[in-house]
Order: sequence, then C-alpha cells, then structure tokens
Amino acid sequence: MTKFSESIIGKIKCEHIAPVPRWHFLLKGGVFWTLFGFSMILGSLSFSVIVHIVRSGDFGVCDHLQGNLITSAVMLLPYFWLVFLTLFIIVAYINWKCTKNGYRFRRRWIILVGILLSIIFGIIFYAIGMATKVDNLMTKTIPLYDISKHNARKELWLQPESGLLIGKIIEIDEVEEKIVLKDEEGREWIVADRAVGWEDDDLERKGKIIKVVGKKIGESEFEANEIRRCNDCQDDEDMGEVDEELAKKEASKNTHRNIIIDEEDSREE
Amino acid sequence: MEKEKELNIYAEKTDEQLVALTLKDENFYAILIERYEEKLTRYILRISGGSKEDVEDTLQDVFISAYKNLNDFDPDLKFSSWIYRIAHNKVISHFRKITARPKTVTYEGDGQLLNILASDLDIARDLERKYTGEEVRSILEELDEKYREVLVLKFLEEKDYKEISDILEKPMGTVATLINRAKKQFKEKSLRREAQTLKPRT
Repeated sequence: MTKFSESIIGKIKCEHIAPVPRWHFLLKGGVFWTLFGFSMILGSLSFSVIVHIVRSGDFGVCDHLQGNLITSAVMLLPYFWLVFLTLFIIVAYINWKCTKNGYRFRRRWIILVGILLSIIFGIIFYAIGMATKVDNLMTKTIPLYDISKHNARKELWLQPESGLLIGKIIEIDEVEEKIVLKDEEGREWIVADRAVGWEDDDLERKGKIIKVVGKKIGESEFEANEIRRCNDCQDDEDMGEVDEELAKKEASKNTHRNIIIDEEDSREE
Repeated sequence: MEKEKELNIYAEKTDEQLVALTLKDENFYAILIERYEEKLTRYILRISGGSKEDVEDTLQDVFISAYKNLNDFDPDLKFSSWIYRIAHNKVISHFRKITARPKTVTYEGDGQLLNILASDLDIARDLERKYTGEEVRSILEELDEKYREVLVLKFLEEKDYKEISDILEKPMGTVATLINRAKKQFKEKSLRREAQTLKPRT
C-alpha cells in the first residue's frame, strides 16, 4: 500500500464512510424517468388539444376575421397549447439528460424524438377523445382559459355583418322553420333554417350552442346557409355531470317531432 | 503484512472486479487507488494547473467521492472513464471557483506527446520544425477551456472518442466536433505566433 492509498483507506475507516446504497441511485434514476414520461404524456395531451382546436373548423372561416390574424384571440388557443407543448418537451429533455445515458444523444435528436413522440401519442389521445376531456377540464378549472376561449369564439363567430353567428338555441319553430338563438351578448336572433344542411341532427335541440354561417337579413334576423356544431363549446348538456337518463328525456322533449306533437296536443286541448 | 500480501494476489483483477470486491471489503479499494493515483494526479494537474497541495486535496476528494458512489458505477462504462469523469467534475467545482482561467501544466515527457498533437495538425510540417513541449503548452493555455480539455484528453491522456464522451458526458459527435474545432484553433494560434516571431527578423 502506498502512503496515499493508506491515508484514503484510513479516512474511510475512521470516518465510517460507506458507499451510498444502490436503491438511492435506482430511485434517483426512476424519478427522472417518471418525470420524463410524465412530461411526454402532458406534451402529447397538449398536441392532441391543438389537433382538437384545429379540427374544430374555425380555421376554415378565419378569412372572415378582420385585423391581424397573428394577434387574434382565435389564434391564442393553439399558441397557448404550443407553449405547453414546448414547455413539456423542454422538461422531458432536461429529465432525459439527467438519466444515466442521456448525455450520449445529441440535443437536436432528443428534441426531435420528443416532438415526434408527442405527435404520435397526441394523435392517439385525440382519437380516443382525450383532447375534448382535457379542453373541458381546462375550461372548468382555469378561468383565464375559459375567458380566452370565449373571446376567441366571440371574435370569430359573433360577426353577423360578416355572416357568422354563434348562440344557444332557445326556441325551435318547426312550422316556420326558424330557430331563436341567444348570442353571448344576450341578444336574440331569429334564424331561418330553411333548406339548411345541419352538420348533425343531434344539434337541433334547445340548449345546444351552434355556429351559423349565412347572412344578416334584418335587425335581429339571420338566414342560415350552414349550421355547425360548436366542438369546443359547453352547452347546457355538458354543464355538470347531469344524470344521463334525465338528459336523454330532456333532449327527447326538444326534438322537432315532439315539439310539433306538443303543439298539436295543445291545439286539440 | 498478510493483508498486503492478500491484496497483491488481487492486483491482477480488472477494475470492474475490484469495484465488486470493494463493495464487500473497503481494503480492496487500495488497489484501485494505487492504479489511478498517478494518472489522476497528472490529469488534475494538466487541466487545473493548481499547486501540489490543491491537486492532492482534489485527488483525495475524487477517491472519497468515487468510493461513496461505487454503487452508481455503470459496468457498461470503463472504470477509468467513470473515475476520470469524477475527477473532471471535481476540478470544475474546486478550481474554477478560485482561478479565473486554469493553466495547463505539463510533465516531463509530455513534450513528445504534445509534438504528436502538433504533427497531427500538420503544423510541424507547415512550419518545417518541431515544437517544444513548452511552446505547445503555452498555445494550449491560450485555447478556450472546452477545446483545451478535449485536446488534453485526446493527446495527453490518450483517450479514445468513446472514453472522452463518457468523461465529459457529451455525445460522441459533439466530442468529434470539439476536437476538430480545437485542432483548428490550435493551428490558427500557432501560425499567428509563428508570424509574430518572424516579423522582427524581416
């Protein structure tokens, strides 16, 4: 033994220095891997919400927007999720770098693979309906997010002069083929829906929020050319965990056929 | 004495086998210390340029830290890469705090190795002469820290790309890029130096 090695061994014995247990390092590695996985899942969910927003159909009518599209509230939501996606990819990158062999890969590859994985899992999450759930959860829990959504919707769809209208169905007149909509500002609109393609028959119910593409024909009158589902809107049925049976009953009351039957019954009485 | 004899029997074991033995009995650690004491002293001195006492303190810290973290040693790595990495990190935390710019110190015999570096760059051929160890050391000192480190590991410690990658915890591609840039910077500085020495003569 050399003098130096003797002094080191002496110090180890004297100060009772012991190797740190293996489980400590395994735990540390596990924490980094978990954080990495968690960031990847959140990043993928962010991407799935971007897909959900883009597929909401709002981007198809963006040319109706006045002003700068970049600074528009409509574009704010995808930006919001893009910031989330970027943030989670950075967190995933940092955690990956902290793993035992993380240093062996170049930054650009780690980030590229992170983005690719987020896209793949994001599409899967979107396909299984996670995006809508996340979007609704954010709307319910984060007031700022809810406000941004409202502003974006209002900016794009509350432009009757440009032929865009959004509102909740408060009345359905099947005979006259008209519906009454209440917009976010509380104004009521009589919308003629003759020969109009409804995106979904299920939309024609009281309490549903719909988007209308058409033209303004009077002070409070509108003629619809197309009626769309508002994918990212929370209408009456979505608010709270309503008993499903009750919701179905309520919904069936509002269908066209039932309204007509109700009207006929009341006339007979 | 008997303990020492017993240790000598184990002297032929590989580093990795000695790590496993050390985890059972700390006395085996002495063999690993003896294997790396001189190499690491040289390495720490080369990259830190600290005093003998500073280097000794750092070296002691390196071995104690390595012992504490023995369970974290990854058998996929060479033990030498792992302990050099610890030494590299200790030097950064010890010396970078007290000295703004560490100096490069060379040992006797480094001159020959430093000339390998110069010849690798074709500088010797360009200048039609051989560099002295002192000249190469002085140019190395002028280099950016990250470049100096890779050149020391490559040409003085004679580590391959994989080992340098494991020591500096950088991807192999980055190590290759750093070495190329380091060589380029070394060449530029040496040519500039040569031009300056020739000026007064003309």
